[in-house]
Amino acid sequence: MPSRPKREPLILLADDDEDDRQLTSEALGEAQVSSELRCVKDGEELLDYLCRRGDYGPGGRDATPPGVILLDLNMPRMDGREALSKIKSDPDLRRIPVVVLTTSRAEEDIVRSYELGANSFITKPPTFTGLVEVARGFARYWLEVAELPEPRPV
Amino acid sequence: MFGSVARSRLSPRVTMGVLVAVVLIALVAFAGVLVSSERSARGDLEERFSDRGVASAELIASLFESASGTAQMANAERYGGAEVSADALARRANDADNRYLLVLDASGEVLGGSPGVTPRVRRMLAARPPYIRAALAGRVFTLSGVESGEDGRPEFVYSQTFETSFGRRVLVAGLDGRLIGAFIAGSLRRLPRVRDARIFVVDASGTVVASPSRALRVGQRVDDAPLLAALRRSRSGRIGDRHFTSHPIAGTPWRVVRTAPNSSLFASVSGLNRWGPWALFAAFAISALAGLALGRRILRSAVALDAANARLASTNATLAVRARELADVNDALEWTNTELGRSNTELEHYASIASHDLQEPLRKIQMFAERLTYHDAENLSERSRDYLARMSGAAGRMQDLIDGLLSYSRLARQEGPRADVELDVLARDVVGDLRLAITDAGGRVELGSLPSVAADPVQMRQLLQNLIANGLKFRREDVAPVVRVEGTSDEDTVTVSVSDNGIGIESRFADRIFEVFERLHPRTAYEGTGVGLAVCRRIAERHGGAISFTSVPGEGSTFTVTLPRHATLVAATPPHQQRDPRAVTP
Repeated sequence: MPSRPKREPLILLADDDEDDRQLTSEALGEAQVSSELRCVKDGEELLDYLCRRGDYGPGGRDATPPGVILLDLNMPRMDGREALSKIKSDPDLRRIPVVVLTTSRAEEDIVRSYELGANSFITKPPTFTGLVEVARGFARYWLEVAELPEPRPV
Repeated sequence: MFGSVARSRLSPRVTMGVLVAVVLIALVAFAGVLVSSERSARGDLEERFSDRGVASAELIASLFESASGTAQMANAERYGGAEVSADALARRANDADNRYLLVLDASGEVLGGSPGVTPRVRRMLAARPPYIRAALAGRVFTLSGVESGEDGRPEFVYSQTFETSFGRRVLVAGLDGRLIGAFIAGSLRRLPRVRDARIFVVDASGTVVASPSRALRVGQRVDDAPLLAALRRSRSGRIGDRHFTSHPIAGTPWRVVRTAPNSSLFASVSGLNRWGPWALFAAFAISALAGLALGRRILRSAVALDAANARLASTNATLAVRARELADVNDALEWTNTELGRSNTELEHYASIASHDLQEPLRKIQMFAERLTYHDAENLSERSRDYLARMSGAAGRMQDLIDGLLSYSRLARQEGPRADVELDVLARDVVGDLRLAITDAGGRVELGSLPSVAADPVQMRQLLQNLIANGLKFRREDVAPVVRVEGTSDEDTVTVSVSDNGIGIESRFADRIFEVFERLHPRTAYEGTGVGLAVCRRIAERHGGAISFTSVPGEGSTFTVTLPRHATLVAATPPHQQRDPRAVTP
């Protein structure tokens, strides 16, 4: 494995379900992913984080730019589709890879997500073992294989 | 329309009476105008005809009068002496082409005469005819009728008074009848001509004085007794088909006579000219009467129409009421339909949402059960591990049920792309996918030739896969499963049949096996969710086709799918309510 001169990229997970956040976090741990995972509860919080406003504004909580975003589609307030659309139409945010992670297997969701600019679409597996596999594959590809742009504060 | 007018104004009978009266009055007035205009036209023509005769008579009289007036002075000079020179009279008679010339004194004695004064002349003078008496009485000039001269040739006697210092004297001249006649005829020729009209001058006895026509010679008696008789009676009038006028010439016993056939004289008001207006009148009358007859019929039918209209109006009113009722019913139906469509869509939506929402906690159950097993299995009792395993199994089956339900409800909403699907290629792919299951079962799938069909390829694949998998699944114990797929097609329909040699289906379940979650066997005997055949039926119906089966229990079943060759998608939900993203996504 080549040594990475850069800082470990941050993984930002947007999911409204606490169970899912915990399971994803555990699965990433199980897959021995060393990158830090941060969680937001919906699309609005995600955009607040990315744009450093609200709770994440000056003097607020830390909002280190993420290397990659894991995005659930179905969330309250602002769902994943809208958040995805906003991110991908923002000239500064669009460079951040967004991986959709959802329970949906519906063709419409897959097509729609890619149309909106998703960089990848992953269906949550029904078993934890499956989830660990997914976490391992995700980390291997996005954090090791793929070259990411330097995270840049907005 | 007629009816409403007639009804609102007058009764048809009164209207008809008024119309008849108006038409009759118009006809009588028209006829009166025609008659009077014809009469006045005839009067005008007669007057014009007569006026020209008058003009001729006055012209002739004035010729003699002016000649006599100028001659009076000369004569007084020439023959005013004590003696009247016979030589001068002879010379003068010769110069003026007179037969004779003589001068009388006031008592009528001959003062002198030219050589032509014969005993006949003297007898004539002695007889004192009116034209001599008039001259002696002082009339400027007088002319005789036609006299017969010495040689029998016609002759006129002209007498003229003139005053001298010796008293009144009278010049008497014998004029050559033919010369005078020709002179007068010349003036008559100038008259405007009427076709076949005659004009001539006659004396009181009916002897011709002058005529422009060669048919009548001076001195000849007019050979026209009816005309002569009529001339004696009146100055103008009608003899048979002729019209005549006569005008006395002052200073003479002569008359200018004109005759003309009525047809010529009244040419402008006869023939077509006369009958034309009457023909028009007749045409008008016929039209008017025909119009009346028509009007009568129209009025009658108007009455009938009125009645029919009234009936129609009431029928219309009834119909309008019915139409309103129908429209109300229609509205209600439409509303119900919309409601049905909406509730259908909502049901599909609920099925989908519910499935997803059900799936979430289920997934959690499975995952946390897994975590428990993974982390703490050694801390659990044998019994707890068994419970945990059963719990996971149940959650897994529920997962399958939900997956089935999801795919089934998705079928209702998804409108797959339409393509020309080659079913034999598709069937080979499906058999490839099922290779493991086929091997496990120790069976085989036989593929006959299959047609192609215009359909959604994904759904066709699912259809074939479900049917073939079913054939393999419901096998008899100890009998290797054989599934046979065959197809036929004709102009409109494609038929695919999937037969197996499995356990078969009892016919009493025929109604149930295509229902969702319908299972005929305990799960322990045959795995499955009971969605497969329901999905098959839905796919067939979505393509405008159908699915059915025949079976002999214990020997096998045959499922037959018929599809329209050029399938049209049958919307399970109203089209405008499809593809609502909220209805699709979890």
